[in-house]
Amino acid sequence: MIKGTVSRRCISLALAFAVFVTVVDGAFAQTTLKIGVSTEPASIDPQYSTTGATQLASQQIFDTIIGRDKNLRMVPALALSWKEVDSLTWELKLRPGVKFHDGKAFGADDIVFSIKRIPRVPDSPSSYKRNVAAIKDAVAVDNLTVRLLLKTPSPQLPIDLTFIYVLPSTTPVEATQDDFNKGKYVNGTGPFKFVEWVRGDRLVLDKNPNYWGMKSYYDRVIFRPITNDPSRVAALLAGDVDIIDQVSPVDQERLRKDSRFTLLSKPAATMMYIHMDSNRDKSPFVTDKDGKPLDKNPLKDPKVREALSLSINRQALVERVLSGAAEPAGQFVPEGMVGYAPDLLPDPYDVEKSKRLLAEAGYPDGFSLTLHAPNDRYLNDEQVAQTIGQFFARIGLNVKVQALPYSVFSTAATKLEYSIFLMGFGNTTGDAARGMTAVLATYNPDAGLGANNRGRYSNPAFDKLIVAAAASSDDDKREALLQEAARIAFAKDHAIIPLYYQTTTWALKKGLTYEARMDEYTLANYVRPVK
Amino acid sequence: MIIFIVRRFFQSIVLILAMSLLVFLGVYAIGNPADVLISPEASEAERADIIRHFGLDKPLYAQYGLFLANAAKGDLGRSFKYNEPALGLIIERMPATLEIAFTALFLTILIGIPLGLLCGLKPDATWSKMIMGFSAFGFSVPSFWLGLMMVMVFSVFLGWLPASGRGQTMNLFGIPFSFLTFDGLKHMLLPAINLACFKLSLVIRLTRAGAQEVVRSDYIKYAKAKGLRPARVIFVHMLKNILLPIVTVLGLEFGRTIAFATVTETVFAWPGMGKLLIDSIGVLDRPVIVAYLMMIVVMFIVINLIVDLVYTALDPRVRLEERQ
Repeated sequence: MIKGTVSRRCISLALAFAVFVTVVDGAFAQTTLKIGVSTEPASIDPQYSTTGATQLASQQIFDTIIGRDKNLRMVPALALSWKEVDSLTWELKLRPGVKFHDGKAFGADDIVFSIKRIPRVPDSPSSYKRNVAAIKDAVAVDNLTVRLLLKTPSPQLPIDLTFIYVLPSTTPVEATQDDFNKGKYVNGTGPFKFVEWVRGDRLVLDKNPNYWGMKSYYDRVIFRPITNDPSRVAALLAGDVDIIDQVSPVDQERLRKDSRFTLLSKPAATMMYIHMDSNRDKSPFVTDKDGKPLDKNPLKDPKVREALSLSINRQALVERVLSGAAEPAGQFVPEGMVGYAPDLLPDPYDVEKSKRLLAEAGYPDGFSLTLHAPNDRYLNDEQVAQTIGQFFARIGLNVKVQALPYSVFSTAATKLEYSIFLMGFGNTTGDAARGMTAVLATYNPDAGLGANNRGRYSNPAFDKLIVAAAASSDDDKREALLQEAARIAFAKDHAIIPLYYQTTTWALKKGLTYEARMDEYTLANYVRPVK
Repeated sequence: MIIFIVRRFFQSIVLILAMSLLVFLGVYAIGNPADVLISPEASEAERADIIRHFGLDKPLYAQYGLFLANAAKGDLGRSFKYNEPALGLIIERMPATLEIAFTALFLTILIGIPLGLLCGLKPDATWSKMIMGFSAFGFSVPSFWLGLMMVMVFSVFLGWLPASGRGQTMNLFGIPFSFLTFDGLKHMLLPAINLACFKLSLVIRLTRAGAQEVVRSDYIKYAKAKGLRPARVIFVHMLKNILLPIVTVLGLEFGRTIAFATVTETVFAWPGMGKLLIDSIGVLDRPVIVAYLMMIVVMFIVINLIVDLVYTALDPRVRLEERQ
């Protein structure tokens, strides 16, 4: 009997304790937002890595010199205005009254320090050096004015400044990645203060009540990296998180039908396209129908390239293979970005014309191709490649599709081992210049052109327009030049076959809303309850 | 005994070296880390700089030589992606993996052996056949699917347990552990069960087979005839003889669980080493891959050593090699 009393007392004590803990916990609860994200930062140092995954963390804690709105157009951030004083000098006027998280006042010294620190950040595989490459020196004229002295004229400098995160000038030179990752010296002007980062598990941030911009609604935000798509959705369904990003099309269907959740979509910066070897006479994966090499590479003929483009039913591709999570593309950037030409529509689906063009080019019976693609990098990349292969087969070609892991695929594609392949490009700058320069300009590594031009397309008229656009400081003239270049590359030469722009989708608990962004970032201070 | 251990030690060095060479060659064959890691927007000068810094411009044998020289000093390289010591990254995430691996082992032994014994001693009972059926399910179902199903049932529908993550941790000797908090235990349960499933099925079957075989042997009949209590017959006399194959399998399985808990860790977003491995492979972060696999080799060697020592404890007829 004594045994029974003791155990019963133990149970009631335990229960009382559990209740106490829950009540106490509830009484002091801050409002917390839990976000399930598909990626993880490589470091908390905002000047370490340009990858989107790392910038996601940097965006919450730090500000950039110039900001970007949800359509990636430039807006004032720590710099209120910026103007070109002469071809080698720019002047920035800074925002007054801004404080770092530790209370230090923000001023021109911090901008100068941040710009000078970037080339000294050691060992980053994707550093910000190119964003400050044109800057020879930065000078603080007074506390709210900075002058940037350039090595070469750089009309596009503001775009580079949207990637420079500002650290206080008191950050020690010997601060290591490890220091940052543990929270030492993590001192920014952004909407959140750093609390804790456990790699692979959580990034915990607290609200910065003195933020100059959109203040966070929540006291605390926890980012949980859940890279596996179904797991991320499960976490949302189970209520472990309040919002998730990168919802795959299959999950979108399911969540759309669930009234507990809202879906928000936005076209993203990634454009998927087919890149073709339009340069070499003999291409490794293009043969005649018997497998024997051809004398002349059909992909060199713009008519053949156009035929291939017309054979693809982009609408069906988007609806069936991507469950509507994309928009057909006819050029490098979607509507809303700088350099978009309204007259360049996606090629129509026209099998008759396609076959006719092939016959005109001298291939009435078609030929054989192997289409390569990554299988773990882009949304449904392997399925898209197989569908494209089917479309090509319908106009009389023999097609084999080879999908491989991105790590293998990208190395081989860069070494020009493929003839025709599926690829994507992220238009992170909000305009067409970067993409067209990297993918379509004549390959010239010394000039920094054509770094991604794996088909070695080359058109001097196109190059001239691109170079002129880069040197122009008149925004309207620049946009006109980019549009003209796009017309040459797409309407005339069919240099690459643009397929679609991926859309990004967020799923949130009903009652919450978020301003969806083209750069796919989840900025926690923009998540708020629906009024 | 000492000679045995020393000899093992030298065999291990050869194994570890062979493994490091294999991984170096393997990663080199897959692709160039430079292409995957370096941002496509980097200028040629920048690329060349980074390649030079990571030592990727040297010929392969020079890179390997440099690696060996540093390894002798205990430095297994710095991660290309995170710019932190590779070994440090792995050790940082080890406690999380060890937690669920040990819990899985614990569950396996606690549940598997008694159930297996019961099934072996009473093979014709209905519940015995049902348990065997479930065990077949346990090792044929892919752990990825099983994990997601568990999440759907226990987290989404029933809401009893969290869907992913590690939960609250408490520090013991400066290392964060989940099993010390109630919240952590809740988070740990599903991944541990997911890891245990395969082992559990194996152990149940092995124990059952062992039990059925041993129960027919002469010394058991003699013990029963002599009038020993059934409990003593089973747990003192039978169990030791059944345990030999189980110990081998558990040793191997345990090593494999720690090394490759990747799938479970991905499904449950559990911040362990397996997840680090698969992420590193994806970006060809060679220093981390090499460091990880070398560490795994060491671990397997240690586990095998322990298994061999346990053998002698269980069965005095088994002698360690040199005592002949």
